[in-house]
Amino acid sequence: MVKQFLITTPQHDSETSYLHSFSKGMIKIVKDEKEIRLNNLDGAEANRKNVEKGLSSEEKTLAFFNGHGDEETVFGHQDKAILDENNVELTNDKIVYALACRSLVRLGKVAVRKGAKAYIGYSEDFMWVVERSKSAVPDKDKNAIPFRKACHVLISSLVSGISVGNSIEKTKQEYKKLIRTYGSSQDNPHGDAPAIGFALAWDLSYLDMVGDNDATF
Amino acid sequence: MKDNIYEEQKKLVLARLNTINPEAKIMLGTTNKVSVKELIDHVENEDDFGKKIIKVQMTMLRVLAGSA
Repeated sequence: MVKQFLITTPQHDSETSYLHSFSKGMIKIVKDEKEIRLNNLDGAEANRKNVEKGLSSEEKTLAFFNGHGDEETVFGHQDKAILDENNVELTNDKIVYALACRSLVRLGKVAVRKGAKAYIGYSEDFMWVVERSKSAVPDKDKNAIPFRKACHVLISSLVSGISVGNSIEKTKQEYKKLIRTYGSSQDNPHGDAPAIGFALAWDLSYLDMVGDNDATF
Repeated sequence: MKDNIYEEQKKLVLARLNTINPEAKIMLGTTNKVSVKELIDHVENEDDFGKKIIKVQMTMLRVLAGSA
């Protein structure tokens, strides 16, 4: 049975451009999977109507939202709400991963209460460090590499069928490995290693989930 | 005793924050960016964000020490 990988990748400001850059490798992973249908809502396509259409599918779905967020909302193109209390029931029976600030705090709990298998997200702002001279070209920003890597570990774990709980654990282990690399300043090409170590520790501290630990995609 | 531990952690965290490149561009998803000076100010003021910074730095130290 074909499964759906629904992904939103808005790209209208500096922050979403970084998340958009992070998502490219993950989309590549999914494209190679024959049993997964990629539903990539890119740029202006990352809107409420398309998200609701994608979430209405009967297919087994992993919904991966990239963008701004707050405790009650995940936003899409031009910061328009694409997931909130008024449509979150559409995540029923689905696994959600929101790479968006703080939505785990309330929206994640509402999603699970309304039937989502699991909701992965951050209970605080997502933090990363940019290379000052490369902030306009996230693909070339070396400071973004460890953050991109941690995000990839989570998605590739979920896509390979590892349970939500174990995927988070693998990602937290990756964060710790990266903290040991950057936090000890062994790899400090731009003098930003201590800041990178701190931001990785921040993301490690606030990545979490609600719902069924054993849920798989 | 608890207050003493907190004060020691605060001193340690401030010392570590002072080793961060003051020009580092730290991005926070919702508020665009935060400077190293702002991180230090939050810790010194002991506000909610400052307390979270202390907690995260202590987590980082435990990871570096191999105990987390």
